[in-house]
Amino acid sequence: MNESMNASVASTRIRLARNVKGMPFPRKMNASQAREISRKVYETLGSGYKLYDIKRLGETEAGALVEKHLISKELLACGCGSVAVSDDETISVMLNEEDHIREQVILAGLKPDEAYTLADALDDRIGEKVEFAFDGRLGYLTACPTNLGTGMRASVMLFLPALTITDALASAAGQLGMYNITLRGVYGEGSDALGFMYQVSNQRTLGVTEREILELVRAAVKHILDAEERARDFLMATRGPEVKDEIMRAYGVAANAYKLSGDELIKYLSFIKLGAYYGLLDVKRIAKLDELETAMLPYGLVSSSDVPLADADERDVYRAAYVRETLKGLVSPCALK
Amino acid sequence: MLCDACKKREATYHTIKQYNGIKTETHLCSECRRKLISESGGAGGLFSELSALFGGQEKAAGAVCPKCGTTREEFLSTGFVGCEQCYKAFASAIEPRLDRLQSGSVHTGKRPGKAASTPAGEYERLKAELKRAVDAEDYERAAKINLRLKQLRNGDGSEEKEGRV
Repeated sequence: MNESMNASVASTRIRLARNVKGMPFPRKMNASQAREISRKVYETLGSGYKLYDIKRLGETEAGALVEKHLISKELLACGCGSVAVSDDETISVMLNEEDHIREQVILAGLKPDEAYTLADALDDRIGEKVEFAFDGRLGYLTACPTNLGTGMRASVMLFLPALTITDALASAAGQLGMYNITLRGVYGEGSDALGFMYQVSNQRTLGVTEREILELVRAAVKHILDAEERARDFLMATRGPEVKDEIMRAYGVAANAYKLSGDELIKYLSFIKLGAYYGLLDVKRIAKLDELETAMLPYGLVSSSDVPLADADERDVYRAAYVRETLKGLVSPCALK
Repeated sequence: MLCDACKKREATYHTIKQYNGIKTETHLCSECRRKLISESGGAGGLFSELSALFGGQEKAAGAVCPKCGTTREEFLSTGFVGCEQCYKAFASAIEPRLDRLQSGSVHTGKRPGKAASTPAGEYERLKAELKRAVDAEDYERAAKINLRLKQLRNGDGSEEKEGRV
């Protein structure tokens, strides 16, 4: 695989599901039991973490945590949910969602081993003071039997524009069956395939070791990225002028527009990333484009500016100005052939 | 590729399962997938089939979890258990399904601190893992596990780390 394909891996996430021994699972527990779990787990984390009680969070703050993947949307609906987030926002521990404890590590790029090492250490730290529900044969006991055993989900976020455009994603995904891997679109809310971002993750958690899961996911990522690389060659060979035009137009609009919606930005940034791959655009740091995208999602934008949440027009004007300014020093067009 | 359900939107959720040599593929758009999940009550869809397969078997005993009060019907319709005790109460509904839902029915990964340090626990776990490796004809892995079992039998448990064989 070509080195430049590394830029197509946005992030790696490891999640471990745990429950506290002797306590009913969140669906069956009361508010005081939930508070006790939050307190107990938070105490094990020590300094460097902030605890958020979901009920007390405003819509903007909660929405921004979801946009940054630090909490799930489901946690917002849990009456007793809370989350502890590390200061650098790489680690989050969701409390009283589907399970009592969901330990999560997110790192930029393809780093399954590093992310697991952090998650494993976090798990040991919590496990020193909190006794987990565990069965010698079934492993860590979880609210849903689909998470039994290791309780581990390893996910990698991939940028797959060419497989999407050439309609080859399903056949590439089809070959993943043997890996027990699931591939799904990230921006799935009514705008399928927007941003060409997909999440690859393991399906099974019991009967496999954590190391085996990491190997499976790594093999699947390599398989998909190899297919994506071939699809990019094919795309340029068969539809070069159209693809180049789409990329340069996306850059032109993103760098000059007066108003930009969130969806438009996601679309344009994805073509700018593709432009960098084909050598049409010089992008100083690809990861910065991903950061820009997250920061400019509605809640992230509102929480870092004075723009009111209710004013979508004002948001679009602010977003366009911010994007124009950021792209100035970050992206420049190469000489077109 | 279009969504299997609505045949209109682009499919972004692809699931391919292989079980006993039979491969099934599902390609859904996010909207139809959401609809399917909510109609089947979360992961409960997986277990409502169980209801038909195993229905009635544990009606006489264990139809209600003695600890948290979750009923067997509740579990089958939602897919969620209410506490650790439910795994015993609804064992006859859960266990036969694990081989299909999961990669087996025996945990082979990490164990909480205390349990991990007992060689007896590791020995039992590795024996189960060895059987799986032999069944899968993964002899290279089986040899590694055998080596570790030998070390444990000889009382030399310090060389390799838990779960890293």
